[in-house]
Amino acid sequence: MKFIHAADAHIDSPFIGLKQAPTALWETIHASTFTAFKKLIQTAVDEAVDFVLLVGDSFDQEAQSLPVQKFLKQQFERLAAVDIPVYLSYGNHDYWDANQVHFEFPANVHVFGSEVQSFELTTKGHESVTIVGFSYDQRWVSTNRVVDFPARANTTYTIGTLHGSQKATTDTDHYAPFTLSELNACHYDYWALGHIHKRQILQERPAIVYPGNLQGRHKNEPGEKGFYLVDTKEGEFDLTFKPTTVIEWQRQSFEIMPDMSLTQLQTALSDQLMQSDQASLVALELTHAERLSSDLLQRINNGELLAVLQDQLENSKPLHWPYALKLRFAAQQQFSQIDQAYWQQAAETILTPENILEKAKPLMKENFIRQAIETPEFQADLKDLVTTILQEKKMGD
Amino acid sequence: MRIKTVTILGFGKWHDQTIDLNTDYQVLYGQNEAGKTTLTTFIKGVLFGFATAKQRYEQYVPKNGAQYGGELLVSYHDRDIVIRRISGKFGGDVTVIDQGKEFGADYLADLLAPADEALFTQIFETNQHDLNQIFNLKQADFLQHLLTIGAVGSHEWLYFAKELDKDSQKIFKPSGRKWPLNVALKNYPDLVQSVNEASRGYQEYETNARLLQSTVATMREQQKQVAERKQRQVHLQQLLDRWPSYAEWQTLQNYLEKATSFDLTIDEQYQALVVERERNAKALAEAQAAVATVQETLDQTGEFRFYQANQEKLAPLFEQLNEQQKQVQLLGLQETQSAQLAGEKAQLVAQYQWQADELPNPLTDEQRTQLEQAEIEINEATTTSQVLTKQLADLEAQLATQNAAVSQVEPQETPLNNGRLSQLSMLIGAVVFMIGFFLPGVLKGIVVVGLAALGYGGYKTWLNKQTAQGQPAQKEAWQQALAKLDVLQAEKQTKAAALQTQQARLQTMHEQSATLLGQAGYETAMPISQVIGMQHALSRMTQLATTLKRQQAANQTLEAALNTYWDAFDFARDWVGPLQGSHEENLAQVSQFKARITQLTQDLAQSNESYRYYQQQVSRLTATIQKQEAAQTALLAKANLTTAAELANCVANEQQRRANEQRQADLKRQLATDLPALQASDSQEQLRQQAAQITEQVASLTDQLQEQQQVVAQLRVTQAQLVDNDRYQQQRQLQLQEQAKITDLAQEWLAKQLAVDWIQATLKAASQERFPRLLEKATQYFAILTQNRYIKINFDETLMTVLRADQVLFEVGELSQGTAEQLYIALRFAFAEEVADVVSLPLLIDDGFVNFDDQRQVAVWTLLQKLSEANQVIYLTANPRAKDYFEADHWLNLAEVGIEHDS
Repeated sequence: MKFIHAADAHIDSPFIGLKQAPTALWETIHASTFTAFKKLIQTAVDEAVDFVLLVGDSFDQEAQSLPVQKFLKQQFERLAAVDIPVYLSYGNHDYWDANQVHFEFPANVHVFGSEVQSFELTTKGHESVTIVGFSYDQRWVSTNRVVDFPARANTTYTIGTLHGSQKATTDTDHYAPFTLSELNACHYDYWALGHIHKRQILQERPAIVYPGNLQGRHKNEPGEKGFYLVDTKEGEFDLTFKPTTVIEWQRQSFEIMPDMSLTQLQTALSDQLMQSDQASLVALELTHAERLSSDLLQRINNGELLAVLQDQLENSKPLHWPYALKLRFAAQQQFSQIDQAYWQQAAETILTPENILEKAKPLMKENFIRQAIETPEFQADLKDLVTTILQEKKMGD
Repeated sequence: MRIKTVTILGFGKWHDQTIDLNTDYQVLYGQNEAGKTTLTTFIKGVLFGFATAKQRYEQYVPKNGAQYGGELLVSYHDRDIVIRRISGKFGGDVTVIDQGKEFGADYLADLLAPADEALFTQIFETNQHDLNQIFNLKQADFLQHLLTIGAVGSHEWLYFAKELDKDSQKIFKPSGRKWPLNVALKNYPDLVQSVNEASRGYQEYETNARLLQSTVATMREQQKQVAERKQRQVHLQQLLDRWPSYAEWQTLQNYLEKATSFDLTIDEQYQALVVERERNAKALAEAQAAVATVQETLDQTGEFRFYQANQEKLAPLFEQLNEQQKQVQLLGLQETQSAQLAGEKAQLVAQYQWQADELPNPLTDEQRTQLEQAEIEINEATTTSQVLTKQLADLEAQLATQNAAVSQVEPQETPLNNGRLSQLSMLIGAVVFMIGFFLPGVLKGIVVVGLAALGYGGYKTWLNKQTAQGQPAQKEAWQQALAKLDVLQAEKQTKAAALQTQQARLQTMHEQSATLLGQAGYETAMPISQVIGMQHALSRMTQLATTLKRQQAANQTLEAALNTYWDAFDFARDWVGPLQGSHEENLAQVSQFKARITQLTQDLAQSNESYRYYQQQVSRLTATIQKQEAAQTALLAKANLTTAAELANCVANEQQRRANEQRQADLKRQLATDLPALQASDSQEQLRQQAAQITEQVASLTDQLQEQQQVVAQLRVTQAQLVDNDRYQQQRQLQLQEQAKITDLAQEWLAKQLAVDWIQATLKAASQERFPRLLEKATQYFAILTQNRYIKINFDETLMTVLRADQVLFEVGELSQGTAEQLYIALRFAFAEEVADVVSLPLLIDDGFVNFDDQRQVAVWTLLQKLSEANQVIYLTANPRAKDYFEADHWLNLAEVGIEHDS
């Protein structure tokens, strides 16, 4: 048995967190999720897999993308042409909404319904396989769906597909929460998970796997993305990661050496960025910012270095695009250790989400700002930034 | 930490100098440019790093080439540590020697922690520059400074906060318009609008999809309708096509509704009766014919009636018939015998050539014996004669041969025919001779003739030979042959003589026997053997004559009896026939008559039986037929009929009805499911009209359908175009891009704003926390500095006031600059003391207090000594008066340290 386990393709999902980019980059970005998915389909065809599992979030419902539906249909037809079935479930992003437009997929695509359902097939090697799963029919599925999964089938293999996340807290368990022991209780041979975009193998035997998404779309989806090509050899599941990343979100750090000029920094940074063969969107972290002169520090803070780098790399091939540049100071020196308690005490009142939102009130015209500000990530970044500002001040002393 | 010794290798104007310091306090006196500031910079530099190349004027690199740097010997937690810093990167190379071990810069940082240069400057360093700055502030800001004095470097922090606030306003001002974030926020709705516009493509698609769905549904419905109509059309056409059949069906239906069925079993029964009756009638006729035949037979036999009439006469005659038949047979037999006997007699007569009426007498026994003797003797003689004759014949043959031999040898003189004639005559002679021997009596003369002939032949032959002897050629052979011929002639002569004797004897014997025969009445020439042989026949002849006589008599009797019998039938001659033929014929006639009579008797007996039988048959059949007639009539009556013709008519009708029924059923089957529809139709015309209507509807609907199909096609094209349009995605990406930009700006703005808030909050918090203790100390110091003129410092949330000894309360802003400075100094020193438990470093006080009057100057000096309890105080002053107010050993004139004045 040989199959592909993929999830969270998020085709045609836009990239988040880029302020500006050259046209070529925008084109690459726009094509990237499509290209990544095509790579998957090509692998399926080349490897002559027995079937393809797509465990949710193949596209974004709210994106209302017609081209993506057409695209999916075409890609599925490529598989249909070589008799490779697809077992597709809808996740929280592409949950089934009867009112939405849905293109009819070819017959090789088996879509799970909102109730837990089993499909059976026979592989080219004459092994029988049962594939169990379900689709979201709303944005949130807070109930435990694993309890609805049937006992292991009499087929050679039973594979569970589940778009969801491990149980954490009731407040956040909106995505078919499960525990490993619940999954293990089903005695399946393989658990094909989706939803979490970070690739991870929760358990080796039986395999409980998140393949991650096919293409990172923002800074929090860094690194190489792709899917697993799963092959069984004598009952063992052999997982091979197949990258599909078109352009990779990266964080790169760079150590500032004493007495570096802006030009030196630019050259060194661009050299570093150009090292990789993989097109990349890079957030640069320049460490030892304390080694910068206050003048240079100010220029960098004004965005001068990033602008120069972007200018230089605009036409690089493969494209390396530094989209953000951050300064880090060594050892997180405190602005005053004597008053540490007071700084902390003040931070606890000032750097609270409530206060941040209060402070941001004049900006709250647009909901997305509120949403952005409400994210812990934004707030953490904000705190970092505030701290950096104070540190910069300290540097200036 | 307290500094015990300052050793300068080279720093600014200082080089190779060692200055010992008192660890409580040390006053360092020097005029301007005495190197006071250089010294404080050196101390700070060793502790926190020398200025870098960027701060060239603060570097104090020695100009005389002495080694840059130096060291401090400090007392730290009751132990001495050397801190050495000499020229090097990052503020100079540091060596720390602690308890004999050497360490680097990190160790130093740990020793000094949490103090760094900035903190040291803010807390432990006081100079006029700072004080001036304070008083250059606006009144409100000064107040704020005082309020926030509780934090380290509050002054700088407050300044920085203000700068940050300014910077933040370059990003966004809540009421602004031109700032980047203001602009972005203002423009964002336009972008949202264009995204929405782009997303209408999707809405349009959705709308179209629904429209398409409904249109397709309508189209399907129309297709369905068209299909239905077409089906209906076809159906109607089919109905029309079937109308003739339907019409026929209808007609039949009407007919059948009226027609009554007729039970054909009646006819079957009737016909069976007819057949049966016919059979019976035939049997009756046959029976009647049989009766008639019998009757006729009986009527037509006269012979039998004759027999019956004369049965008494005829019966005995018939009884005799067998006897008569035997008599006839006997007569026949006897007549045959008679005939045989007569035949035998005639045969004998003929055999012996007797005259029928003159039969020889039979010999007596004596005569017979004599004759028999004579015969024996004759026979002997005859035999002898025969031998002789034979021998003669042989001789003759030899002679002939010899003659031939002679002739051969002899030359041919005599013609052959001569020879042949002689030979022929010899041959005839032999034959006659031989025949003569076998002839009786006189006929033996023939032998003689034979002999004569022989003799002639021999003679001739002999002649011939004689003549042949003349041939000289063969003389000898011929001579010999002649000789032999002569022998043979001689022998012949002998033999012929013997024979003549014998012949003579025989003649005698014959003569004797002839006498005998004559006597007995026989022809004398008759051979004896013949006479003897005749004897038996003669006796038979006698016997025959007797027998014949007897039989003729018997036959006559029989004949008579038979004729009598035949005559007895004379009365029946008409039936028997004239019995005038032979007996056999008569017998046959009578027998036939009897047979006929017998047959008739038997026949009549049978006929009587048949007659009775047939008579019964006739009666029975007649009755049966009558019954059958009745049954037929009953059957007809059952069907309310009277005649067979009517029945036949009924049957014909029924058959027609059934044929129609069948036809109707066939039609119904043909019409099948269409029948109800056809029945529902009033007329063919109505159907035609319906068909026309449907055709019209189909055409109309097809038009509509085509229109709908065009709409669908158009919608599909639109949909395909919408599907391929990715403007929405592009706009959406732009929107996100703008969001990222705005979010970033917001973050930047917020960061600055929050930093400001944070700084202020920290300063405020620290102040509020420390103020009770701080104020206590500060009040004390302020009192010292003002010689108890001010006795209290008050602080509430927003306001700091001081209480004069006379109980007058002043706000800070109301104080003179000097008093305000004193308040600030008091607060600063109080703060340094306040944090001494966390960080204790020497207080470096360089040339302060210029705005202090003499009294207050003195007060400061007093205070400085007091402060040394908490921190080492290093006081650098240019005021010579100070000397009087400090202990002498704590006073050092820098000029006396042997400074090289080379600045």
